[in-house]
This record gives sequence, structure tokens and C-alpha cells, in this order.
Amino acid sequence: MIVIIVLLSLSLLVAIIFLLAYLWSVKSGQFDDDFSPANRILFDDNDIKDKYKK
Amino acid sequence: MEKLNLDIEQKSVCFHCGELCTANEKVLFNDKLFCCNGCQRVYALLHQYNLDEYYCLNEMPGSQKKANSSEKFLFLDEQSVAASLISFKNNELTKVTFYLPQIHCSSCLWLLENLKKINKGVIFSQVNFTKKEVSIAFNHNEITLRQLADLLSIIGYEPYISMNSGNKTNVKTDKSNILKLGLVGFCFLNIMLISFPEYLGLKLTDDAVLTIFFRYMNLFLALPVFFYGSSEFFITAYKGLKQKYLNIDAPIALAVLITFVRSIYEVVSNTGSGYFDSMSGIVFFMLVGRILQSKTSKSIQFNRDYQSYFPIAVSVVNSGNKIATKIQELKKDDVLFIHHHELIPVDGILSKGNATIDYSFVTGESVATPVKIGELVYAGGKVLATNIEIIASMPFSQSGFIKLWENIAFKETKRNKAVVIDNISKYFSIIVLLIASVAFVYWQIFDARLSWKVVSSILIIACPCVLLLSASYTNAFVLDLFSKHGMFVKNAEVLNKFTKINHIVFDKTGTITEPNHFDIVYEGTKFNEIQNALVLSVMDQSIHPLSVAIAKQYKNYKSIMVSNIKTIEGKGIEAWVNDTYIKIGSASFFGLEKSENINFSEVYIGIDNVVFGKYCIKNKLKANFENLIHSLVNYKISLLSGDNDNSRNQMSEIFPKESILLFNQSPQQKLDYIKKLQNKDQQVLMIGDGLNDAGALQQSDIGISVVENVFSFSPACDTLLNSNKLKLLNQFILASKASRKLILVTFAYSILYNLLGIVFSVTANLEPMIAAIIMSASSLSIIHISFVGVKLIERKYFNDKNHVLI
Repeated sequence: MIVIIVLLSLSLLVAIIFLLAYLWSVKSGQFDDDFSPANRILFDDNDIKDKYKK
Repeated sequence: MEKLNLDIEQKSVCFHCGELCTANEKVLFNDKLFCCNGCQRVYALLHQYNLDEYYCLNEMPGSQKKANSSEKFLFLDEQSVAASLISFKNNELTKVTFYLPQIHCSSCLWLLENLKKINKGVIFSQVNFTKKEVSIAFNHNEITLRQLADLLSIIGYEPYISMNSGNKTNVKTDKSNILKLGLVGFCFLNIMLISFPEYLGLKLTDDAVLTIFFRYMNLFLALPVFFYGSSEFFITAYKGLKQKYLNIDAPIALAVLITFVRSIYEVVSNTGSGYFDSMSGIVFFMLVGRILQSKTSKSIQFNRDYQSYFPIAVSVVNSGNKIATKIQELKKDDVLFIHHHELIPVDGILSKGNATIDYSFVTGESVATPVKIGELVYAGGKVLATNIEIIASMPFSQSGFIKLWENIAFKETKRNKAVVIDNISKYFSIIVLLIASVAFVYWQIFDARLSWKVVSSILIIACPCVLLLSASYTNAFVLDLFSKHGMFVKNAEVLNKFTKINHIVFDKTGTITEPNHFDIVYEGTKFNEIQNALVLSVMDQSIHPLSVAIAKQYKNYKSIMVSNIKTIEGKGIEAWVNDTYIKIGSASFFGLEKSENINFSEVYIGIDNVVFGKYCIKNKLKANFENLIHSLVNYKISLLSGDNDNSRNQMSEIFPKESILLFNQSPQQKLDYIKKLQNKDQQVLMIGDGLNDAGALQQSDIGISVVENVFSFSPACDTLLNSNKLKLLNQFILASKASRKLILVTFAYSILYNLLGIVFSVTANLEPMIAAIIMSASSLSIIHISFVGVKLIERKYFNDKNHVLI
């Protein structure tokens, strides 16, 4: 059952890495704007369309 | 059976902005209907550059634009002024950030990020939707900063540049709340996970290594929660203690501290598993509550001072050249060039130009004042129709306008009556601590092992945080509800005050009257088509607001060029058009008696020396205002107006008999009136719209500022109200009373819960861990009760059948 200790420690380590990623992303302002990124992906890329029109 | 009244009127709305198209002003272009030329021009521009996607992403995404002068952004040509807005600059590239309050949907986002298609000089643009800002990188050799601002204006997104943005005081967005929440949430949930074996019966005797390992893991995870997550509770509790005052955070801090210390002791001495799950749970839920409250209060900026009102720079004329100068640097005797529709920044003497000044913001008068060369003009007035030059008679900071702001009313803090809830919390904390100490002593005597458990349980379960949560969540939900329906309240204390109001004071101009619409009726001989065209063409050339209103109303005429017009100040206009002599003006201009007992303005028309008739112009009251007044039965009502007496009859018909109607009130008189009422122990709610009410709004117990759009300037007031939602005033007041009742209900619930909890803890029947679970559960249940309660309030007071369900 010692293996549980190893498993727990490792999974906590991985989780902490994600926590650190979260803290870093909040600090760097990635979540300041939650509306734009969601809508940006829905825009058509008209540049390509225009390129082919010509 | 009710007869279905299918009143479906085919209402034509503008394709661009969605406003109603009046028969007079609508424009048809490309098979699409627009409400005005402005909207049509924006559409044409976007269509020209293949940006029609703007209209595909959302319906009617534009906003109605008011035309403004092409020199509005002249000051951006000036290097020193521009430098304060630019964030980066090198040889080819300049980066600037503009605040665009009109950003509201994905079409705005799309258009602004495709700005480069309209002008090649724009390299890259990115929108921060939450902050309503756009960051533009452009090649300053191909397009200047000023041209960029003009371009944004043309497509309907005029940048809002105020003196504040010029000073670049970057408010660092406070992210520590969210960081703390993330960290504490992470630790809390992991602690719960690791505590599972212990919950399910793992004992030290079964497997010592595992048990000890889990306990130390919990301890390790609890460290950041204690030192970082709960730091603000300790700090505020400490600050309160320094002032010898036990505030709400004190018991929470104490509970957290005791639980933490006790848990460490138990783990290190192998006597138990500690209560880290409870501790981190408390901290987590308290943080959630705090964040929820702060979110609602950040949505609207309130205390804008006069700096947001004035332009950032003014053109100073120096030997023929116009130089943009920062407004704070204006000196006495500077010659200022002020464009039409611009605000006069300082008191001065008119030196050039036929000035008509709109002082409605300062005095409340809705009719503009003509000013002759050599006369004084005052700061805060808006210049109409023509450009003027003035000689500044004093530097910016000393103008009378600014003095109004420095008025005592703004320096004194508002009358603050202690809120009932604060009092209860104060005593609550002391009582709980007393009970905890007594119980501790008791159990030390009878069964020492249990004493720590008892104390921890008491402190955890009898948290006044439950009492507070009830108030703060309910308030947060109610504030949110109000803003959805157009009223933006500064904070929860204001909500409380609504329930005590017994006197309501209205301002007249712009608050209960439509600022731009008049009721116009013509009495007299009818004109034929030619005469109509002549008269209206003459009126169109005049800048007097009454003529402007008439010309705007009767738009369907063939405009004729009038070259010979003479304006006689205070009387009227004379003109010769096509060999016809047209005379337009007041009764005295025609040598007629002014009608007595009227509540409207009269404009007489004479053609070729024959008096044809008169236009009667009445200020139009806002729609549904009468209904509002009739619904306010339980309050004393007053009307304070800066305008003249003309509308007294009209007002007396609408306002109830006992109301007080006062006219010709100066800002100071309005303020004094409010003070007088308060001295008679009345709780006053004042509703106004402009700077002339500022002192009175500040003095009242609640000051509501009525605005056309929430980004327009508002003096320090407690509440912003959207001008077309004024009719909901009574509903807002009733809803706040209902929400107070709701708070009392949740209060009773939490007191009951506390009593039961304390009874069980004191008798040592409650494990701290169970206490924590119950406490968390009760917090959640209180949030639910608040939420459902507020939804019920909404359904009862705001469920109007015409309301679109969002």
C-alpha cells in the first residue's frame, strides 16, 4: 500500500503544475477578457476568400 | 372571453442602429431603411469596403451617431497631448489604446479588428471587450493619430478621451481575489479528497504510515490557505482591533486561527487528524462571497469628477496659429478657439463669433442664451451653431464651474446611519466568543478532551459569516437585478436607504421632460406650400432652439436659400426671401400682448406684414411620467426647476395637490431646499440629471442621476438611472423594500441555524468536521434562498408583459 503514497505525491505534483499554470495565466491577464476569444474563433477569415476571388 | 387586441403596427426600424424611423427623417438606400443620414453613411462606408459581415453577426449592431465637428480631435495632432495616449512608438509603428464605450457586441469586436481593411495605415487592432478598449498599432507615416480617431468616429465608435486617460494613471486590475480563490479552491478540494480515507474509517492503528502521510499532506496543503488565502481576514480583523472595534472579520479570523493551530497540534502530536478540511472550507466560501459582492460594484464607475466632463485640450490662438493646449495649462488672457458643440472650459469674454450658449448643464434653462461680443461667457456652457473665440479671464482651476464642485456639499460625508446588520454582527461576535469561552471552561472542568473540540465547533458553526452572507448575497443579486432593468446602484447601503424614504424631489428639465422633443401646435391661418417652404427655410437658418425645434418637426418642405436674414436679439428674425418679407418672433416683436396663464412658448409668424398665426411649443413630458406620479401615493413630492415659471400650470395638473412646485431655483437654492427638508426629519430621494443638481444630489439621502447613456458624465451620486426607465421608479422602491424583507427572512433562517448549531456544539454533540460541512451547506442554502427570493421579486415587480425576456 506504500504505492498509494507514491501515486498521491505524483498526482499532486501534476496538479500543482496546473495550478501554477492557472496562477500564471491569471496574472498575465489572459482571463481579463472572456468575451472576445470565444467570438473571434467564429469569424470567417475573409482574406483567404478575397485572395481566391481575385 | 377577452377579445384579442392584435395591435401589430408595422414599425420600421433602422437597419443600422435599430431606432425607429420617423417619416420625416428616414433614408432608403440599397433596399434598406435607415433612420438618418448618419446611419446610412456608416452602412455605405462598410459596404464599400466589403465589411457587410458586421450586419450578419448581429442585428442592428450600430448606434445612432450625433454629427460632430471634423476638428474634434485636432488636439491629437499636438505631440505633447498625443504622447500621453501612446503606449509605444518607433520609426514605423505607433501603438495606442482608445476607450470606446459603444462596444457592446460581437459585431463591434469584428469590425474593430478588421479596421485595417478600411485604412491601410492600420496594421493591427485588438479589442479588450471587458474593458471596452481597442489597442491599435498603426503606421504613423500613413495615418496620423488624429485621422485614426476621426476614422473611428466615422464608423460610429468615437473614442472617449478624457483628462483622466491623458494622465495615464493605470488602475492595476485587482486580480488577487481570483488568484486567492483559485489557490484556496485547489487546496480545499484536494484536502477533502485526501481526507476521504479518514472519513471512511481509516484509523491510525490500521495503517500508520498511510494515515500519517495523509495528515501531513493535508497540513502541507493547508499552509497556503492559512498564510495567503485568509490573510485579508486577519488584516482587517487586526485593523479593527487596533481601533478597539470588533468587526465582522474578527470571529472568522479567530475561527480559522484556532482551527489551524489545533489541527497542527493534533497532527504533530499524533492525537488526531485535525480540521484542515473545515478550515479551508470556511476560507473558500468566504472568498466566494467577497468576490461576488465586489463583482457587482465594479460594473459601473461612479465618482467621476469634472475631469471626465471636460475635453482634454483646447485650441489656443497664438498670432494666427491654433495650438492645442492641455486644459490645465490655460492661462489668463489666452485666446481660445472653441468649436460649435464644444464646452467652454473657463470663464471668459467673447471676442469673436455670434454666440448662442447652452447653459442647461449649469443653470437648467432649456433655452439657449445669446451672447454679444464683449460679454462674459461661463465655463460649462456649450457653444451652439458657430465657432467662437474667447479671451480667458481666469485660469482653469479658478472658474466658477469648478468652484461648484469644490462646494462644501461634496466635502462633507453623507449622513450615515448605522445599518442594523452591522450592529447585530458586532454584538454577535462578542456573544459567540463569550459562549465559546464559557463552554471551554465548562468542558475543561468536566471532560478536558472535549474542550478544544467544543470550542472549534462553536466558532465554526456560529460564524456570523452566515448572517453576513444572507445580506451580501441578497444585495448582490438585487443590485444585479436593478442594473438589468436600467438602474445602477453604487452599493448595498443605498438599497437599504430606499426603504426609509418619505419625500421625493424631482428636477424638471431633462429629468421629467424630454430634453430634445417638444409638443408643437400651430394656431392660425394655414400656409400654402410656398409660404410653408419660405417660413421653414428661414427658421432652419436660425440657431434659436425654438426655431430649430420647429424646423425639425416640419421637415417636408422644399428648402429655399435665404440670404438676407437679420436676427434681433431677444425678439426674433426678419428675412427677405423671393421678394417676400418674413417675420418670425415673440409676441412683443409683433407688438402683441403676451398671453397670460400659458405654459408654453409662442412663436408668431408674419408674412408680408400680415400675422398668420403662431406656433405653440410646449416641453414634452416623458412618456408614462403621469403614471409614475400617480403610483407614488405614499410619498411627499416636490419639484425643483431651474427653468422659469411658464410650465407651472402644466405641472400642477400632473403633480398631486399637496406637492411643492418651485421654479427659478439656482443650484444653491436646490441644495438649501434639500437641507431644509432634512432638518424636518424627512428622508429625501432626489432625482436629477445635470450639474446644476450636483450639490442637491449629494446632500439628499439618496441621489439618483438620470442619464441618456450610462457613460455620460454624472456627478457624485448614489445611483444612475437610464432615462427611459424613469417610469419604473416606484417598482424599484417597492423591490428594495421587498428585498429588505427577504434579508430578514434569510436572517431569521441563519439565526435559527446558529442557535441549533450552538446548542449541539456546546453539548459536545457536534464534530468540528460535521460543523464545517453543515456550515458550508448552510452557506449554500442561504445563497439559494437569496437567489430564488430575488427571482420572485423580479417576477412580482418587474414582470411587465411587454418586457422582452432575456
